[in-house]
Amino acid sequence: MANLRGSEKVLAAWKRRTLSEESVNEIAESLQDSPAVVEKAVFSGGENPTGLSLSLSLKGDDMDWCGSGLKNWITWHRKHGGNPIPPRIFTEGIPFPDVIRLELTYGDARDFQRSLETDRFDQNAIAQIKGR
Amino acid sequence: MVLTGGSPVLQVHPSRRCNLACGHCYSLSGPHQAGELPPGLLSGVLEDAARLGYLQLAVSGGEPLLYRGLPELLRQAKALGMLTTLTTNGMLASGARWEVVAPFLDAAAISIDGIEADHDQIRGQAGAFRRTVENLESVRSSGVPFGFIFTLTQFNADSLRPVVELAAQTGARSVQVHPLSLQGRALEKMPAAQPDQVELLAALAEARMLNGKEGVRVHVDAITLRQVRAFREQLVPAQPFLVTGLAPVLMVGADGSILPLAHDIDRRFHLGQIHQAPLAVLASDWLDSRAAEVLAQVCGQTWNELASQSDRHAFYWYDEVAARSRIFPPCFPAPLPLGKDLRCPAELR
Repeated sequence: MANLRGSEKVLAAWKRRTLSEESVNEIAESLQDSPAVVEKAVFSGGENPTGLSLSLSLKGDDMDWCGSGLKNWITWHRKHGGNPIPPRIFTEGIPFPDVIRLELTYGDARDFQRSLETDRFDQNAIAQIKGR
Repeated sequence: MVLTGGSPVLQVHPSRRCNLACGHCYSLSGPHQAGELPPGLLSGVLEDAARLGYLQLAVSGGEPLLYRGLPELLRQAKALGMLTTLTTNGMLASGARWEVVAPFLDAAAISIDGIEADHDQIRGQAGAFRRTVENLESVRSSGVPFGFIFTLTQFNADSLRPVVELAAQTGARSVQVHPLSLQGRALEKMPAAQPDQVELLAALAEARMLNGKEGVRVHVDAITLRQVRAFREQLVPAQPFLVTGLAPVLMVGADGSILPLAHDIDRRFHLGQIHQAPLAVLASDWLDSRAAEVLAQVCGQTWNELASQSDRHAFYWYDEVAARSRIFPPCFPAPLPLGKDLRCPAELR
């Protein structure tokens, strides 16, 4: 480690950070002030959680909060670190969405991401099977 | 953003004697350095400095707690209405040695260069970290506000966080991050350790994150490109007719030389020697000389060059000025018309 740049070690430590009570409370506080509905919350990492994945939905005029949600997510990661997975936004209804779904992962939620990818693989497989 | 915290600072290095011989020491201080500046001579310097507008005395070294004239120097500075600060390795900051200086100190800066192993390695002495940390309680109980000075290298930005945590645990109010300058012993012992752009930026980002954590203020002696562009008036002397305007930091070296801004500023810009003449006379002569005028131009030129950078984003300002003072302009001290380009005419090269 001695010959590693300090910044490389900072980044490695930043990615290794686990969730703390303080950091989870901050997520909860940001949601208290928001109109988003929490549809799903999954902790990753077992007994010592390293990440949290949230699925939020917004309807009607509340959809404007989407930007605030992204801002909170960036601010949280700048402060607490982790291995961020880019947020995902799904809109239902084109050109005027009725619902916006926001998937945000906090900390290191790569386990959750892998499970999503597995789901998607399964869905693709199912679709292919159905098509056949 | 004010580089000296708003107060012009007289920085005195009364001796290069030190109980340690640190790998990063810019002044080559160590246990075998014997000379020191006579207290009587420094007394006159202090009076003149106060009259010139220097509001703070910062004593460093060597290890300043080994300087016998220290209590009197601090007492006199207080009597002159100056703020007093001390930079120490903290290993001797206890008992009678500390008790005689504490009443005259407004603040102390104690060097902590990372976690225990890194600190001891840079100090060249096992147990140095433990002894300094042990003494923090006597510093704290003396009522002298104190902070840490952390030397940033290419390899230790990750140590900033534990140092800030130590500050919070021990009652230190601040952590000042000072980028390593390749001077003195560092040239030989740590030639590849000067932090580059990435490390400066990493330290700035970490400091921003850690600043205020558990009440500890974290400051990096580096400025971003955006700050360079936004704060020209704080970086380039606006009052070249005042010595405090040109040299908000004025240093008295252990050999008696008086120099503006940085230890490695080119010798052509030195004010002179305190053995030669009183500071007031040296300062007056200096202001009348080409040196002061050209130094202001070097600051302006440094600002011009940095502000137009696109591939560098963080700077240690005084290192940048010092570097340009050494290479530019090669024909100085030959007369130069005010406001002209500093490049040396080809015929004078």
